[in-house]
Amino acid sequence: MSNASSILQVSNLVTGFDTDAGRMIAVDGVSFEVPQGKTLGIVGESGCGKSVTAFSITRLLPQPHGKILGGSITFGGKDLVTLPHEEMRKLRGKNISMIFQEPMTALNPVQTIGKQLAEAILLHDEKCKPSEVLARSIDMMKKVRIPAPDQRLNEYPHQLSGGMRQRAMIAMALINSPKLLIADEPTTALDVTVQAQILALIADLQKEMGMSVVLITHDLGVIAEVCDEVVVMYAGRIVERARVHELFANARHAYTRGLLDSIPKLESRPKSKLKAIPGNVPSIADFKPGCRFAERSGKEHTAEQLNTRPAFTEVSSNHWVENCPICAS
Amino acid sequence: MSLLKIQNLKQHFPVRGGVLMRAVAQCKAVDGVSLELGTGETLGLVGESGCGKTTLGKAIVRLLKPTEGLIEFQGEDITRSSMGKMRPMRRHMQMIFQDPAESLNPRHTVRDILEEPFVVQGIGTRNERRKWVAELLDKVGLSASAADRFPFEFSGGQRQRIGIARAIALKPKLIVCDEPVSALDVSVQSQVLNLLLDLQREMGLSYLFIAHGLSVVKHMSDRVAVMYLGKIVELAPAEELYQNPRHAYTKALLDAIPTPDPTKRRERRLLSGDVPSPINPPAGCAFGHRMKNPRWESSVGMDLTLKEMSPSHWVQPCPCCTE
Repeated sequence: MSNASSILQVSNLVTGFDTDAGRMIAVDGVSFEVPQGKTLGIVGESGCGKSVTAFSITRLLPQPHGKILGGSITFGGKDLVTLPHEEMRKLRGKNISMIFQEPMTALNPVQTIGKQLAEAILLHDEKCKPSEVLARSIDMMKKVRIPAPDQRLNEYPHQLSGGMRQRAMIAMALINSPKLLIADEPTTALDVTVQAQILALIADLQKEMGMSVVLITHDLGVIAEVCDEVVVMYAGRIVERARVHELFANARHAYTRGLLDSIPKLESRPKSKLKAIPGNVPSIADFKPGCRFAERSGKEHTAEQLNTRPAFTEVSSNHWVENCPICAS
Repeated sequence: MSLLKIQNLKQHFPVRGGVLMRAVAQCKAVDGVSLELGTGETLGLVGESGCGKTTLGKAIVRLLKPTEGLIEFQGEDITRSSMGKMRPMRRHMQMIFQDPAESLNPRHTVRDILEEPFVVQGIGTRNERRKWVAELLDKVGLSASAADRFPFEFSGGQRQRIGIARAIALKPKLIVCDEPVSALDVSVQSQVLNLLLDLQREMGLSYLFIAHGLSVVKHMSDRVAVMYLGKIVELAPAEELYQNPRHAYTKALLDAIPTPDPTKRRERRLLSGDVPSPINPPAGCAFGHRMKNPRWESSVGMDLTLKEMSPSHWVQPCPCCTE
């Protein structure tokens, strides 16, 4: 499956948490790759392991409970799983950057935007002169289209609006021109209008800087707008993986179809019943060995289907499905 | 006769400053809104954050004291009603909040939460209330055993169901739904929306449905009002508004919705900037001002009350945003 043109290869990743109730496997054998300069979307409901996958890649799992238990994450010829902490730190913020859902919690409230940008520069380039730090900061603020950048640098996060804060965070993430940006629900807390601005901004900067993006979201609308390839996660596993057009045209797994059906569409009749997926994502302690979507699919599964993990098969070129005979078609 | 009628409603908050904490400015959160809502009808209310949707919702159920204007509920003027006078009225008007984790008391069991409306209104005996709680849980699709558990034991969707059960406990006529599904996953979102539609049909409820997700609002509403900086800029039947938007702000909002279809990717006309502060808003059409429309100046001093452009399609008649 390894491909020379992909910048990140995750194969068979298993991530777990040690809790009082035993070891919980949050990400259970996940494989995908991010093509060079493209955008990969990871979609699924809360509790499906999307963020844990992202934190595994950046090795930012909560310590000491979170652990990568198996698999490999190859980035630039190195396996991030076994990389020493010191080297990982050099990579993080320089070659791989991450932006988060809620900029207010991700930014430091008692430091100015300028100070936080400078920190990102100086961490990876200690000898950078103050004048150059300032010039680079202002340049980056301009790139993310923050008006009056020299003035904004002296302001604190609370003085900015939600959209501006998200721009400031993007500026921090991209100031060292990373090769890979991981965006964890970057627009979920924002208004639709601001969401459209931020998505357009990320796409523009991606083109300009030639970076690859992993975009985590629960909104298939966002996926359809900006992604090239899509990974659909459910209960810690990938149930489907395909190019974006293929996925929206020929969704094979019942979960993917359920997600697609439950979006209210502008064309649908007002006040008509929406199709919903009954129930909730099972809690991590109740993850079954077999088909995990069984109880919400509304269809009878045999004991064997509930107890053996369905194979992950390529049903057509580059279109992979977790091949439960009941849930996949 | 309409169930709810508001006329030229204004809700201003003083901004205090200086040593004496005098009011130095007015935050005009809601600035002259007129709406009507019929029985069994859903009126959608959309707009960006900070345009006054929530304040309007709270003013309508009289959680606030309106600065000016008129609120009529079932033909009765409640604009200035005292707390004591409002209490019996509250049976008929309830609210569902965005974040059920914050609007449910974490130290109360679900039973305490659902019994409270009856206790406050002094209805029923202990045994009757127990029975009603079980009925309510059943109605919103939760099992009776949920009554003895605490809110944190439930998922977001289930918590929102508890919030809905509490709102319908007293068989109200009007429910103000303030972003009831914004915090939920799509699949759970549609479960909750379906529940709201079912309850409306069953109980003849009227909803004021506040949201910033336009596709959700369209799906739930008979009519939709678009709000910008404390004012309604467009009001029309849901289908009409989406097919034939007249105001530039409505068009911009519609344009920003991501389409769940990768074959329909397109260049967007992006709105720049954010909603300006409602403290000292610009004169004339606020949206024309934000867009730096060359024709904005001619809207200053104009009468911007909504005009009926075509049957039941009302638009703010400013020269900069409406053709």
